[in-house]
Amino acid sequence: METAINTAISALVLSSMYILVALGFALLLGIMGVLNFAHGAIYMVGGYICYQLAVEFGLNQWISLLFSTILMGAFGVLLERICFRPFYGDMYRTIVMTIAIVLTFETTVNILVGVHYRSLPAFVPGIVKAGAISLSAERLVTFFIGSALLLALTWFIKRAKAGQQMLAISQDREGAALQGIDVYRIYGVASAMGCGLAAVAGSLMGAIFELSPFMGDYMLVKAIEVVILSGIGSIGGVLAGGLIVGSIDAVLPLFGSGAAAQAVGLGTIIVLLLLRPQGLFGREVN
Amino acid sequence: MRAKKFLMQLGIIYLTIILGTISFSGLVTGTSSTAVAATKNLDIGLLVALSGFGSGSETLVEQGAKTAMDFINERGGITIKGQKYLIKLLIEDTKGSSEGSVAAANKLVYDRKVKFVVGTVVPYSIEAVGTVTEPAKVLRSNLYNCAMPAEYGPKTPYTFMGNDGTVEGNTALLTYLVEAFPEYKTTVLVMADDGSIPYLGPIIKRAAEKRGLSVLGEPVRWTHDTVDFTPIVAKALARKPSMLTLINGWPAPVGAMLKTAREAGFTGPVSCGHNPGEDILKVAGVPASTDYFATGIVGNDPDMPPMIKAITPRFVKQFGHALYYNYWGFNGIYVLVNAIEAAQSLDPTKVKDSWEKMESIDSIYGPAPMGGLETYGIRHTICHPVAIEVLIDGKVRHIKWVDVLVP
Repeated sequence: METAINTAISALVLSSMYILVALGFALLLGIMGVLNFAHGAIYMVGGYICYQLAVEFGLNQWISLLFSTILMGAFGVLLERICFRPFYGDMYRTIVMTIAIVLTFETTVNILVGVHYRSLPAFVPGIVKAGAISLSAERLVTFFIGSALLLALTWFIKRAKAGQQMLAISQDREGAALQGIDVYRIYGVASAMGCGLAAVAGSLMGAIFELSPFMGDYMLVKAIEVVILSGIGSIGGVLAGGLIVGSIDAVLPLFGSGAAAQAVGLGTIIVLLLLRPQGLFGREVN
Repeated sequence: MRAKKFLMQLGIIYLTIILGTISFSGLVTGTSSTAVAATKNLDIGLLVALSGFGSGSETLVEQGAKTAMDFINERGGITIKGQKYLIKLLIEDTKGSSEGSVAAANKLVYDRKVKFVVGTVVPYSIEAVGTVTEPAKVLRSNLYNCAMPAEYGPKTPYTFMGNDGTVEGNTALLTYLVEAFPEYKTTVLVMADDGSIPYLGPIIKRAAEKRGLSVLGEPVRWTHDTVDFTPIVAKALARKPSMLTLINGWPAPVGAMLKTAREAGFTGPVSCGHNPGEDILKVAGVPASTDYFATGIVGNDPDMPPMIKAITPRFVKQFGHALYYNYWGFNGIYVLVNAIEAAQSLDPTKVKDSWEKMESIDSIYGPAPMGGLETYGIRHTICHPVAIEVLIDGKVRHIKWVDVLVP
């Protein structure tokens, strides 16, 4: 029983983090048409900024998280303005640009901070015990923060004016521009939100697990898995995709060897895609 | 007229400076060339992951190896048949991957023509490097192994262990734990799913059972890209062991497993060879970092052997720390150089033959008898004493040295 509950919590925590990162990735892909391979590196840098502020400079950890989010959000605006805007419509150049950013970020962190092992202290230390069940408080809090951010983001996209404009641009960029929507401003907002979400996820995951200059590579693969599985253009799809991928990663190792569990997980995604090539909730693209 | 005189004076000063500089540089060059004529360089290749997987620890190995080079050179280098040689390290980054390891080894062996190599650490990298160094008959001081024949065994006659491997470290730990905690009778082996389990699993299981410890079920496996260890640890704890034996892995996964086990309410001893408390603490955090046992060096402990006492302050002065993997890098170079000097030859085959005949070799941990014929099929293992340490409430404490002679 306790194994089942611990695994369920683990699945939810992993899923919420995958979703946070994948949403940022999906925003840039769905709205701007940018396949941002630097998203994992942004997640990593967000975690490191939080660590440096909290551990090296002794700032309150929550304030460090906020600063990290704001800094990476601002970086998102610059990223859109300097790196993406000159290359809209040219996916190959954008991909090369984002890969260059990955290498630059990883190497810079490697040189400046080093690759030595470190982890952020727990945002909420302690263990929550309920009978025979023992759970880490920080995992629970991470799950709640992730869920709250997801709700806020869903509300923003469905209800806020800028969110509606994002949806309009993702459906028809030229039509949206003709309706008076400032496309580049919305691109900037989407990029800032995507990078900010990645920074939150990087900081929270850096406390539960560990920080390394290469931690973003894994998360990028997960974000791509989630987005491909869910299909492009659906927030609900990203939620479902994140839950599926997170659950596979959390549950399958219980029943087989680690490597076999991974193979089964990816195999499941392949089967789902064979049945629905456009992803679970994606739209058909002709 | 006055201007002419001034210009002449200026010219004389200028010429004096120029001639003085030339004479001085000639003097320096002369001195230097005399030294070069007297002392030659011995190139030793160092293969380490300076980027990618494993770089967190292997950058420390590089630091240790560089310190070893300086340490040996400051003492005049080594003497082979009357000729003095200074050690020159040629470092290549394996990039933490098999293909990176092959590329780095190729560069060292074929471009830079080295005959002696130190490294690497991770099984796939060790195996990959062997595909280059063994056919080229380049002598290798390997820093770790997981008992896989492709890494280290009869098919790798030019590979010697320059440090203890998984078997030696875990055997030392089990020896100590059984002695210190006779009330704990059962354990679960948790192992990296890197291809080593079929070889390593039975050896460690035998070592545990020989010491009266029951191993519950088959080893629980995890892969190198695992991020969340909750299911792995849950699977191990479901068997209700009294202690957890994490056989191998880097500090990141081992620290994560310790943290997860403590969060799940497990209070028994957790052990892992070669993952020292100082690194585990950074990943697991203080609350989880208790009753964790490992092989590791507490450099400033009075129980350290003379060489460790001598090099620890150098590490601290040079890098601001003296960490476990620093000692690995140092020892890898140190034993190789000792073997070369003992053989009185720079021919890798002659050094190999001579090393095979040695009963014992000097390591920084103390005298290390040679062993491993029964376990690995080749007697190339240096069985140096292994230091056991414990992490209690976030503090690392040296416990004792355990002698391990791997048959």
